[in-house]
Amino acid sequence: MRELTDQELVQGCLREDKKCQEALYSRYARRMYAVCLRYARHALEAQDVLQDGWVRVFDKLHMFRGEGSLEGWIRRTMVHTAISNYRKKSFQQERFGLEHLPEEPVAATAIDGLGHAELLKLVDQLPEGYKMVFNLFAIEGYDHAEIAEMIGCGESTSRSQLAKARRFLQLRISERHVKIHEGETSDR
Amino acid sequence: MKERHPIDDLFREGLYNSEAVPPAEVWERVVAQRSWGHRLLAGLQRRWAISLFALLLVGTPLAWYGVRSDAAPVAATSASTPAATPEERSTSLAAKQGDEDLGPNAGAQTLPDSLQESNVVHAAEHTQGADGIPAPNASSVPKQRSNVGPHSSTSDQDNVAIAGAGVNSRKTEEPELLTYERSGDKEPGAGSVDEAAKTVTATSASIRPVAEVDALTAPSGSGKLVGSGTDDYFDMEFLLAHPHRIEYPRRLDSMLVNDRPVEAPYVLPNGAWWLGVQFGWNEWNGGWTGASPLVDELNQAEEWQSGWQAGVVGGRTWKSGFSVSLGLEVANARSRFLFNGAGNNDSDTGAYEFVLDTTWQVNAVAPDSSYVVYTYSFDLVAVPIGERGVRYSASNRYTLLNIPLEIAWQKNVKRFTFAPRLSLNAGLFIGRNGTTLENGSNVDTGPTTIPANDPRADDRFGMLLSGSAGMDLGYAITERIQLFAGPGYSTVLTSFGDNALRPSINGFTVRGRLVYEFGMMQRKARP
Repeated sequence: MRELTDQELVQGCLREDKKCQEALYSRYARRMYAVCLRYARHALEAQDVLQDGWVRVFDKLHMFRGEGSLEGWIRRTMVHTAISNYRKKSFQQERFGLEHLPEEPVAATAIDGLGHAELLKLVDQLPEGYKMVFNLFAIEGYDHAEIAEMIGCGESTSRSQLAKARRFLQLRISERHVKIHEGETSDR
Repeated sequence: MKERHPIDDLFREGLYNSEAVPPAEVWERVVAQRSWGHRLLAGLQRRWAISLFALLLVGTPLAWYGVRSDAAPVAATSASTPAATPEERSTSLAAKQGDEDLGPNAGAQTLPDSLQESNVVHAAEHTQGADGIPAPNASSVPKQRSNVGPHSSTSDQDNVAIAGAGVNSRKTEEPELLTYERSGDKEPGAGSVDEAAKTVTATSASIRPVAEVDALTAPSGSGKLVGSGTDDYFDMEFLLAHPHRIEYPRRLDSMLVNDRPVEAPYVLPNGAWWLGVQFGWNEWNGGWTGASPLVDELNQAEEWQSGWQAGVVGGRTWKSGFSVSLGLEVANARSRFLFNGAGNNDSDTGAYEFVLDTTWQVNAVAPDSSYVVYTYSFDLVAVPIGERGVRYSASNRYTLLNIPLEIAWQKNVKRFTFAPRLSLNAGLFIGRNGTTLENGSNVDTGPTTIPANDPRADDRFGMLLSGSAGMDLGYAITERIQLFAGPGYSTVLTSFGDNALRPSINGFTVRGRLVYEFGMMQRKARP
């Protein structure tokens, strides 16, 4: 049986065709869940965001004009849902006193072997404010002006949070590298 | 400009296209959230929140304003008797013209206009405070508060005296007989004030006579109105201690002009009867309660839904704001009955099915022989067909006759009324349609269902006594017609049916009520 194209799925969903809706969900749910996991504090919250995001996708699908990729549109919807959830939870912009952390380049060997799970874990360790900005800038590709508008902060705040997130991640990666290196040394 | 960093690229490459498998229930929740029922419920909840917020937003300031407005009862009274002024003016005009219809004592009323004017002006001038605001005792009639003899009035003032004979309006008992004397241009001692006095009575203390305010005079024209309602009086000690502080009730200046009501042409009755129709919508929850083993299965099978109610109600509202009403309503409660009967294979339905029974047997040829014979036998067995899983589905409707007894407190602010309420409601089941369980799975015969109106279920549907609380916001469409609406919560307090199995439903209610009030301000009877 021929797999339906995105455009056909969209048309079917607009007709409230349950099968098309389920097919669309099946096609992109896993990727979107990964997006949600990056923004949420834990898996249950990610599932809530995913649920709300898909409800919003189906409700607003008539607004998709087909000018870009459907996946990109769904991803943006998910990101906006995650931001709404972030605002609803009214997380404080945690300040962990990371200003003192040195910004030193991470050794190339330190980032070797970092898998998806480890990267996700590292992102998850970021304080909420840093995580939001880092996700939006580094991974989703939004610029600071867009981020500032989306999460309702100043551009300078976005830059500052991004810098702190990078330092935090560099520190964690360096620590991991040192641990691995020490492990290798002790093995010898 | 995007200032990318190696860290950014590392994480983007690793995470942008990553995937994770969400739990299957997420899709089910998406479908459920997009269902028509869920959207309707969400919409209703949103409307609930909006209505409650609007009610609090509007009601709280109105109630607060209403409480504050109690500080100026005289002003409130004058505002609530708009017809008094023209009536009073016409009476005054008639008095000025020497209208004989006013009775034999009309002479006391027929003050020369110029004299009245001059008296008041004089009094006002005489009693102005340092800030130029006329003191409330502008008519400045020094007289004893309760022991005003016939000759005690106007001894040191020029002309007009409004004396309180036997007045003690500081008492709050109602109805209160207030008697006022108005003496005109009589010289002190020249004649009996009784003869010249026009005695009027008022049956209510809510329209307070100006004499009460005039009863005491501050030496410097400064004063403080103490208390509220009928307890207003001038505290002389305070006046002497704080001559610079003057606190007037709102619109007190309206009392100081010449056309102040000499007699109150209208009075508020102690209370007013009213009759209304009311209607409501309920979202029921809850279910069945009691010690019966059938409770759990019935609760699983029966899902309570929404209902409505409509009826007539009558009651009485007192001046204090309290209201008691009794009504008669027809109410409707709906539920969905869905029960998957497990069936009972042992029951004899009279039907049989044939089952092929096959058996392999291995038998030794002889007791001590190692040789065996394999036997394969088959048999056709008739098996009685018992009752198998039956799915019962029904839309149940229960009709009740409700008798609500309600007590409420109303605070009127202009056209709006803010009314918290509590009520007790006796509900009698007068109609039952649908299906219910007679027995559960715990009995040998298995679960059985019966019609909801089956006499075997009568015990479950005894009289329900429920309580509810709510808050109404009312609006006076006309002087006599008011529309109330507001949310409430109702719950069953007890049931007079079978204690082992009785309905216990509760839920939110939105109620509207249209009221026609019979008693309004009454024209005071002339003596």
